[in-house]
Amino acid sequence: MTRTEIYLDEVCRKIKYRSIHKTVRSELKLHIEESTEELERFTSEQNAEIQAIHYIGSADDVAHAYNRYHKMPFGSRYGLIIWAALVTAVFYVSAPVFKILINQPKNAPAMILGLLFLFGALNYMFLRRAHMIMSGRDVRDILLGFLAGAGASLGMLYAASYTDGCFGFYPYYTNMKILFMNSVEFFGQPLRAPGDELLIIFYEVIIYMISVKINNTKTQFFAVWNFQSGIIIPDLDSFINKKTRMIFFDPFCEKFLKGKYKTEEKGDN
Amino acid sequence: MGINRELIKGSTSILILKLLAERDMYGYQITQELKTRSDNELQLKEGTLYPMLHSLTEVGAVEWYWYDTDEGRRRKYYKITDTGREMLCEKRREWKEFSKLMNVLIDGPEEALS
Repeated sequence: MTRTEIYLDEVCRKIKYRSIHKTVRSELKLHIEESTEELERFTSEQNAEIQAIHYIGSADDVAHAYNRYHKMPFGSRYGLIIWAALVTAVFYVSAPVFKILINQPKNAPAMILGLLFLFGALNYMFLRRAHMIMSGRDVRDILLGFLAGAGASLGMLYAASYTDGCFGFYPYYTNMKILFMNSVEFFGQPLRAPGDELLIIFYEVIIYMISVKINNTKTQFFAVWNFQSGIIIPDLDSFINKKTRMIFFDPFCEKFLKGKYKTEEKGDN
Repeated sequence: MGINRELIKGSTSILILKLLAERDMYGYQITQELKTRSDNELQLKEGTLYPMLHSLTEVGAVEWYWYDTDEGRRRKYYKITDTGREMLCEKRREWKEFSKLMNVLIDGPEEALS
């Protein structure tokens, strides 16, 4: 094993986002090779390699620079697994809420879609900070997270139902069997899509893909709130320069700001 | 004597964009060019350049492509985009304002103007 290989192994061990290890290896290896070749004109091959590695920076410094940019959820190399496990647990634990909603007349589908959308938007806001790239390894992590989350939440629910005296039923909603290979009742009829557990995985992968995709475009989104004490805009410069799309939660605030900066622009000209 | 690394941190992207605005370059070439132009004063850890290039690529300021040299070496060349040129103009303007302000604050208004 060469010095370069040992160095690259060390850097990759310290970079939390595992999907970029291959890219990092290739770019740093090419850099060290170029640098070594250049330095060989003045010193031995061995010294040149040592010096090239010294110039590129300590494994800690380099890994830190990558970690600062590609941040993993929860600051852990297993961030995606933890995230998928939590999302899965939320679905398994809150299944009775969906059952109650689905059996409501008329507005039920809209309410469920709204909840799924809001939950998805929250997760998107969380994941987009990570600066991930589309990768099969990430999807594998999401699958692992799903299995971990399903295992943990089902274990917990079954244990709670056993102590509760109604084994197999939700401890806080006794009319419903724990959602594992069971159908949800829809107005007295069992409702079950083939492999509906897979829908949770599908939901998680879609949120992941949207986060990666939108993050890789230049348009950024910010939510603008109007609290009684004043208006909070996370990035005023981007708003004025129209580089950022703002989502307004208050029509007055939108009208006020757009009018204010339009007037200022005219004034400048 | 090298320049304090903390001072360089925030301005690396403008330096990279400036170099790429002149011609397409590969990673090692960028670091060497920075060293040469700064007379070895700019002591940037070479490995930290790549995360910066990742972020510039992500915001669409820079693109990359592979190029095979005659010696059989494969190089990843980086190229500035139109967005990158706009960003460079903006960052240049910001830098000028910032350095003007710093000069006034450190040297006082009279000395800064002279």
